[in-house]
Amino acid sequence: MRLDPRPGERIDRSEPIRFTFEGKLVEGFAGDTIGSALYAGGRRVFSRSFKYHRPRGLLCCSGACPNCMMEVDGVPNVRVCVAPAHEGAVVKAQNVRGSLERDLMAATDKFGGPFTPVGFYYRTMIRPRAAWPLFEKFLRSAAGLGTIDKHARRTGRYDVEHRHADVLVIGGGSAGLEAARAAAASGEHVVVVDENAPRGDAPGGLELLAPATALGIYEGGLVPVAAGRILYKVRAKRIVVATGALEQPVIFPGNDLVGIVLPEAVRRLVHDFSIRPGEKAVVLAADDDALAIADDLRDAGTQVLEVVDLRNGPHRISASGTKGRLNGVGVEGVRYNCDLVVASGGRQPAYSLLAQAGATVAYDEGRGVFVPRDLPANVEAVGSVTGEGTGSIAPAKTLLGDKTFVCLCEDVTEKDVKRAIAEGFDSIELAKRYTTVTMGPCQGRLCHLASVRMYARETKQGEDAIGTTTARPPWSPVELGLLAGRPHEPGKRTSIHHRHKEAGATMMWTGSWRRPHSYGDPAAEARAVHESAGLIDVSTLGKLVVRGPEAAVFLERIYPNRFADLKPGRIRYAVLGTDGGRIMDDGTVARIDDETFYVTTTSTGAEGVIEWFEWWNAIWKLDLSIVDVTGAVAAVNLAGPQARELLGPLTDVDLAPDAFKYLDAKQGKVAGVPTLLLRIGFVGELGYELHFPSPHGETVWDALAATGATPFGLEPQRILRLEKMHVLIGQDTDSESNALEASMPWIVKFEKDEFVGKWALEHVQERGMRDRLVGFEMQNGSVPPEGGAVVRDGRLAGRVTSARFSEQLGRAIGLAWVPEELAVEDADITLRVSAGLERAKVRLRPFFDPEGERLRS
Amino acid sequence: MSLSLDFLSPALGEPAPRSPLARALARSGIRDLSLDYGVLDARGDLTGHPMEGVEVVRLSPERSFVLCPYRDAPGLREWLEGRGVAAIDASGGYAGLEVEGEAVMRRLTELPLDRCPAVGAVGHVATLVLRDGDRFRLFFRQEYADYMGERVLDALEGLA
Repeated sequence: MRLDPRPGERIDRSEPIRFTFEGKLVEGFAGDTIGSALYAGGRRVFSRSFKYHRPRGLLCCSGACPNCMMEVDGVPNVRVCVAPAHEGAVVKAQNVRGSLERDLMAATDKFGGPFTPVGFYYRTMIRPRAAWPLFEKFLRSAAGLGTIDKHARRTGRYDVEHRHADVLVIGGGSAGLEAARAAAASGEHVVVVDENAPRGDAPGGLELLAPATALGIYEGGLVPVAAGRILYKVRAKRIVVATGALEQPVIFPGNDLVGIVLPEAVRRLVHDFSIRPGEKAVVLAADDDALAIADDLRDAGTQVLEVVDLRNGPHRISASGTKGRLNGVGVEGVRYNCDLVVASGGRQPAYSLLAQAGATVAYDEGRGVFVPRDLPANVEAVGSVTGEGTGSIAPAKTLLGDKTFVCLCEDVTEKDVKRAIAEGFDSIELAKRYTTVTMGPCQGRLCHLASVRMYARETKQGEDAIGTTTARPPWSPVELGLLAGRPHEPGKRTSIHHRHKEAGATMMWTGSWRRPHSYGDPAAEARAVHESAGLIDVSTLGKLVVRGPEAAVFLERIYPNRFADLKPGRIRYAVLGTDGGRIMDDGTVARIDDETFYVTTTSTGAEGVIEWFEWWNAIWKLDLSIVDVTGAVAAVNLAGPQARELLGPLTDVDLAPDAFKYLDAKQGKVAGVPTLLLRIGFVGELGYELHFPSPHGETVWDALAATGATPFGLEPQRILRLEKMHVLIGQDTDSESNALEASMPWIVKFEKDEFVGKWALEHVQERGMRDRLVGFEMQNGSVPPEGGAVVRDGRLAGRVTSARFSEQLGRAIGLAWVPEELAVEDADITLRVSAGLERAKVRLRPFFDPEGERLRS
Repeated sequence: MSLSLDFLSPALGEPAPRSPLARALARSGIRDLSLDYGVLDARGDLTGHPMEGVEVVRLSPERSFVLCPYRDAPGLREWLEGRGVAAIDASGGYAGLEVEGEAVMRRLTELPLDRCPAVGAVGHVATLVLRDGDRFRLFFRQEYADYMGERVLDALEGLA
């Protein structure tokens, strides 16, 4: 029932707000929460419990407990006691079959108890094993919280915002504000975070984030703060935690009945929302502040039947109700008929953020609470979170009666905890995992102290010996959308990307790059390369300039093949190895002048190669610089028998075979753009790789495309390179592959004094080859799967790394790792294809143009 | 036959270069700096070589970015090389844009904005941030141009 207007109330009675609950209209005022508007309208049952589907009503009214979680505008698990009411909101109950008043699953409470003890799902329903998915589906639908719509689309936006401050104060109560003002007075930039909406103006000189919740304290003073749909990432030099203390429920039979509330609920209902919480009340409390709630109740017109100070010794308490709603409470054998019990077992410091930051937590025997100790550097605590003014009482010995709940979130009863201890789960950390106590939405706010105490009592140890569970972020539940942030992925695009899209290319990811898979017909694109000329964007290749008086020495040391003797204007293939002799990357090295080399890497290996180069030169300290020019330079490959003819009119470089030989590098202009031309080829045909400044990407591409060259994507490129048996690092090799067994012994110059990985490759040479990367040709035309097995005598003997059907060759070809003894031309191997085995012939020479005549033409 | 590194310099091209941000920022009102500034990646001590009309951003004791007018990059590179400073024309490798206000920057980066110039993640992309009052110039690798354009516009939309 709504009271007459009161000074200080948060609601604005001049501004009505309407929303629906379960399809029925609810009226409230601006300033109401959804929960307060529902309560004012007479609603008392707000949810059904996690496991037993017992009715639950408002308990804390401050966003700490699980009792008021509902679905609001499609978002599940919203605590409506703190969620502002807004016009047109659609509010629904969750985790019910039927309605909140008549939930079919409530049968679990009446009949399921003996069959659903703590951890029952670890023991029952596990056989037959095949039926577990069915059981699991049933259990998940029967228990739990709200439902996420797996097909829901992103609604609204969530943002992340960064803040830097000298001081971050978490908690805007009196102690927090006092600390904040003091810091601000000394000229520091102070940010205050508070869970409650500010009353009136923000304190002068302070930046206030409210209503907002600090989710954790991470290294480096990073504190994520959830504020509606914005996640603030605050970094502060100093953090002051003023999170106060949490009222603790009293543990007694029937302690979850609707109508049993914490004092804070009464404070908020009466003072903030001007609502009479109940008609007849009993107050059970263990501190003066809580006992004073009786005055608030009387002020609101509630008849207070009894006020019990729990500090005067343990009291035997038991509540009873009808259909889950309180109708009376017994205290020391005296029964009081009432619809409201305000119960508080005292206040426990809300130390979780401090514990996350690294503080130790110890039990204070005198106060009966856990308090933080040994705070880490730059973290301070003020107010009742330190233990100041707090204290709590131990629960009385249990009476017979209704269920006694230790954990309301997970429906863990006193009996469950005892049973877990009897089964050997005798530490609080094990109990947490087995019973799930403290693992629910309240994150131990209302159940941690009670469960530790119960463990202490049942195992006859002190609370300090039992200890606390580990505090981990997030301290409060947070919407997944807030953690996800904006839907952006930092993908790389070449300067020719939009031309590919305009030409209808299907794009694919290669590492962090977007590249054309094909332009619609991979086979036709491959055919064009063989018959006329094709054009592919290879701007994604890593590109480095290695420059300095000792650049040649560096390359000589880092690669297994020779570069000191490479002449300016010439190119050499380069395979990079680790110090363990494993293949790391490959590419080409072109010598620009005596002191300058232009190195290319694979598209996905660029960053790794640069780090590798810099790491080694940090040791060698050679006089050179390594500059990454990957993004600065675009590159395209024009390949095919007509490549020379098509490129000629666009460039001032003499392309005649004698003037521009295979593995030559030339410079000149292509379409008016300064270009480095490399005569190399990955696809087995006469080819020119053109490297030029990225801002001219579209200009050069357009000019080449206008000659009639056919754009081709990665898929036709993979067919073409396979025909030449060119190895794709990372596809045909893995972290164990070395150049010798990958059939590239010619790349390793053992006669060099030293190179990275030399000792390891010498070891391979000494022990002999075990496996070899070879080509294979299918005998029946079927294409084996990449990663498929090479089978010998019914056992796994190797694996297929690449396989494609080559239209040019009219058969399926591929590369595979096989045992050394099978690495013989024409040897028969067996490959697993689908469910069966297929025969293939080993090939050691390229399938297409084995002499390389077309490439060198 | 010796070659040169001219193929790194977009300003030496006869056709007009195209900004990598041209599409992303079209009609957005955000200033595209990509073709305003040339970028030299310089190794060596620049303190003894006063240069007019350029900005030097020291990334480490041995490495600096030199920002100059776009067309001046090849000439400036030669000038530096003649004075023993190894410089690479990296103009084609960077895109740049200018945004106004701390609010949008706070949505993009955790860098402390009172300590610019700085290098760090802006929208998860390594970026050089230069501050002039309430204006921020951001330079990042050109292959992220579409992404960064989209990211900045989205951040502005979130603040609108």
